[in-house]
Amino acid sequence: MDVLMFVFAAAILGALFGACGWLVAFMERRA
Amino acid sequence: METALILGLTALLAWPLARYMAAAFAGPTPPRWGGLWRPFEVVERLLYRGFGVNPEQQMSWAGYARAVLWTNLTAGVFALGVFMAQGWLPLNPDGVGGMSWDLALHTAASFVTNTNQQHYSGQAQLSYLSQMIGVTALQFITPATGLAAMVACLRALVGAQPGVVGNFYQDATRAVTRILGPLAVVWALALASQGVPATFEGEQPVAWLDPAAAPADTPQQVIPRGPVAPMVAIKQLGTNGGGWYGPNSAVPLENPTPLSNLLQTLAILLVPLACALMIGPFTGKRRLGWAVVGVMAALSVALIATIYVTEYAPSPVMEGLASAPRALEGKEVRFGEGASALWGTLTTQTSNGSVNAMHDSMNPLSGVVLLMGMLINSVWGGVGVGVINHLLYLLLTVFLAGLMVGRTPEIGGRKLTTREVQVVCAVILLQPLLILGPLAVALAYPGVSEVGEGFHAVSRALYEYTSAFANNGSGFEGLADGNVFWNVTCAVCLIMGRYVPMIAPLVILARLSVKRAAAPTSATLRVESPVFGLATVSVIVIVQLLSFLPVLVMGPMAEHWVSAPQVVAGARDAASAAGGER
Repeated sequence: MDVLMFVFAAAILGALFGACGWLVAFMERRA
Repeated sequence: METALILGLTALLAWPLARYMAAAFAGPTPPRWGGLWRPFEVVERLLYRGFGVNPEQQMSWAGYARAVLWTNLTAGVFALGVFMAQGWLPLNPDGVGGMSWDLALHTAASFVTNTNQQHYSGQAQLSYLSQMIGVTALQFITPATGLAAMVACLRALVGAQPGVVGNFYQDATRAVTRILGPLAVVWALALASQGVPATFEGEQPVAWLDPAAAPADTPQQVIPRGPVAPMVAIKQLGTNGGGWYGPNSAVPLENPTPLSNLLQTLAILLVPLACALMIGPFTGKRRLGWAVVGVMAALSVALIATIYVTEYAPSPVMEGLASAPRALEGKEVRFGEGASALWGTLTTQTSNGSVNAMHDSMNPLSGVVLLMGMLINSVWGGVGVGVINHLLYLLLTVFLAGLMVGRTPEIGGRKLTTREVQVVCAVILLQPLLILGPLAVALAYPGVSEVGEGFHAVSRALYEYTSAFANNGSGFEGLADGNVFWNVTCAVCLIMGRYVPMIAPLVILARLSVKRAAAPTSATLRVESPVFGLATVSVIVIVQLLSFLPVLVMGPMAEHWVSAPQVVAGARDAASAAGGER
């Protein structure tokens, strides 16, 4: 396994989860 | 008759299951039921201790959402590592290599979101370890997450303890130990009894019937096997859908007999239906529960009836011929049109995504029915999340009905204000944004997406993103979806389509739960009435048609119309006239 590619893919996955958390928090703050 | 039998049998099993589920999640001390829970509590205590969590600690919506996201992210990264490293990990008797980063990212995102959209072929590209701890483990964790989120939303709807919605770890653990685990054991044994493989031995070598005709590079053929039955059981019960074999339950090894087909069709609908039925017993709002079930059942029956009409018709190209053939291309002959159509619509209504026929081959208008099931995504929807999606539509209908009758919209005596309605609208608008946005890119850059040409290409791409956002997982398999473009764009749809619509209703309901409830008056909008149910159906259908009718017209509907015999005959005449002139 290419460790760098794993880190890259994991970072994308983490960013997507982070985006969900941020989006919900943003909606809650704005609402 | 067969359909009525399957649906009736499912309803018969779902009602006691719903009562059982309502009791299983009633906490912290559920009804004793003669010590029924004791063995489960022993296992659960061990799990709580092992993971170091305190199941008694009550969480706010924010704490609950954080627990959902962190748990799922951890599981997703773990699965990602297993998929990429499977080449040198154990339990790999067939020597399968590791996945590329983009395919592993898509596969991890797909399985952690309860979608099971597959851009790979399971029997050839996953080791047994990946199938077991990367795929099957997530097939338990993700429906458990959906069930937990649903009970949190229902607790907030009742508002018995304003500000808190339960404990995610306790809810998710109970979902696995008390509901999904026992059901999966029963179903796995039943499927294994029908001949679905359940073994750790590797591929089964089989001699060619005519060795002289064997290809030079394949002197011996092999049949891939593995612990298939347990995986198929939870794939159906947990609205997961991802099969052991690439063609899913169309393969005789995964679905060998009429009884295995009945068991799997039943399992597709069982838990989602039980989720809707448990609203009444769990919240004490029995009339509201029946109203939700009524709306879902009306839409479900409409979709089933429509697909029977569209799928029993011959392909539009063949229509009007003296001996129009039946639409059997892409179907298992042993299941025929009826069992394939019923499975197709149930698997898209419930966000399951398993198939026993190729959806790509169904008549174009059947494609519209399948797409509508996924777009609505709350008839009956995925385990837990179907009810959550329905609550979102319920809140929107309360707001719109309030506008129509000129009263401040309220639910359970608690007023819906602009702030809550803004969140509802934002979540509903996220769906067209995340489906139509990447679809437009895919169609605008066919060189990158390799989407193909014509109306059917639009249908395929639309189906792919709709399936990803709805966390369904089925596909129009003609799409060349195994490249970086599809893997990454679908991963975005998968994650955003799972967690935002799951958590946002929890936020709204938790906010409502801390408001003071006004006593009902004669002018109060009764959300459990048939008229309100009709309004909910209208809102669901209108919202979806407003968002997606243009693209449905450009895809499957256009495909139907241009395939109509008179159009085909007209084109043929025009072509021969042009040939004659030449």
